[in-house]
Amino acid sequence: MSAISPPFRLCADIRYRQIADEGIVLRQQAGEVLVLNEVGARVVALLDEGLAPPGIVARLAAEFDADPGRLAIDVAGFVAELRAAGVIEEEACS
Amino acid sequence: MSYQALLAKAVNGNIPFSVLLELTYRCNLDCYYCYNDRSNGGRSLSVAQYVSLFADLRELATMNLTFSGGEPLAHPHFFTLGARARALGFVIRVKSNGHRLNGRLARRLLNEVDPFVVEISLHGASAATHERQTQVAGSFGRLLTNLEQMQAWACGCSLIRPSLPGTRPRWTRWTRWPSGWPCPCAGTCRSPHAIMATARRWISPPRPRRSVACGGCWSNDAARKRPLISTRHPRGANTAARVRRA
Repeated sequence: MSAISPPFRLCADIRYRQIADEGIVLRQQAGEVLVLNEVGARVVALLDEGLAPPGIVARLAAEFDADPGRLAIDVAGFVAELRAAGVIEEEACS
Repeated sequence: MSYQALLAKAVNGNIPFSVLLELTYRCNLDCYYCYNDRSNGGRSLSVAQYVSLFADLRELATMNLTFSGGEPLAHPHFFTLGARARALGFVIRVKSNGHRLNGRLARRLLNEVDPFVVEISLHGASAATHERQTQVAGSFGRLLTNLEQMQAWACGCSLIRPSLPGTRPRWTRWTRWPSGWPCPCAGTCRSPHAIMATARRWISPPRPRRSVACGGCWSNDAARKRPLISTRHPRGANTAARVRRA
């Protein structure tokens, strides 16, 4: 469902790689590096796949032994943080 | 985990985090110290082979991809390769002599390749010094013009200064020249994880009179840890994930 109309995407100046479990994000314009922990890296990877937050929560709930309610709160907070940091932006609707 | 720890993890895990590709031996200058033997035979990779290589590197978690040469812009398919590398999410560096990088080409480079930085060799603060190395008359003035045009297009670049015979005594002039260049650190912003060990030996650390900050550099100082979910919720999903995966 969410993969059909992904609401977020990585900003154009973002470069991202996953090293083992950790994620590394370079904000090219700012020359800033962000290091993400295991779950943060997984969320960014799923965003990059085009999943919307509800889909991400569902995937994480399937992959990790965590409460979905808690996951939803965590993911929402993390997505807001990524937006504030200029890592992701809303997918333009056409 | 800090950025440095992550780099160490990549090294220890044999992950080719940074890769340098010498696209071609062709060059439009004739630097006397150049180690590339243009008379050497051989066949360069095709575009399809490069694209396949890029895909492999991405799979291997390579993040930094440096295009070098020769003069990489002399490769007939440089922009095709650069655009492909960009699409695959590499952090692209271009090592160039800047001789061709006029405003039009700089704009194209920005639009199609979007490099993180263009590293340009500058051999001296005067035409006499610079052109003694390049052996091409007019290359100094042309480079300055190109740098100004690159600056106008906000194409991030840094200047590297190979330490060569005939240039060292003139370093004192670097401190007062030039003003208004694209990168205020004028060559001090070397990436901490550059893999060009040979070139590194040539590049002597400049001695600026004062510290300068460069907003366009990916330096140790720029790296910072952002512990996100795990720090705010130390007993949340992250902890559970470790338990389950173990």
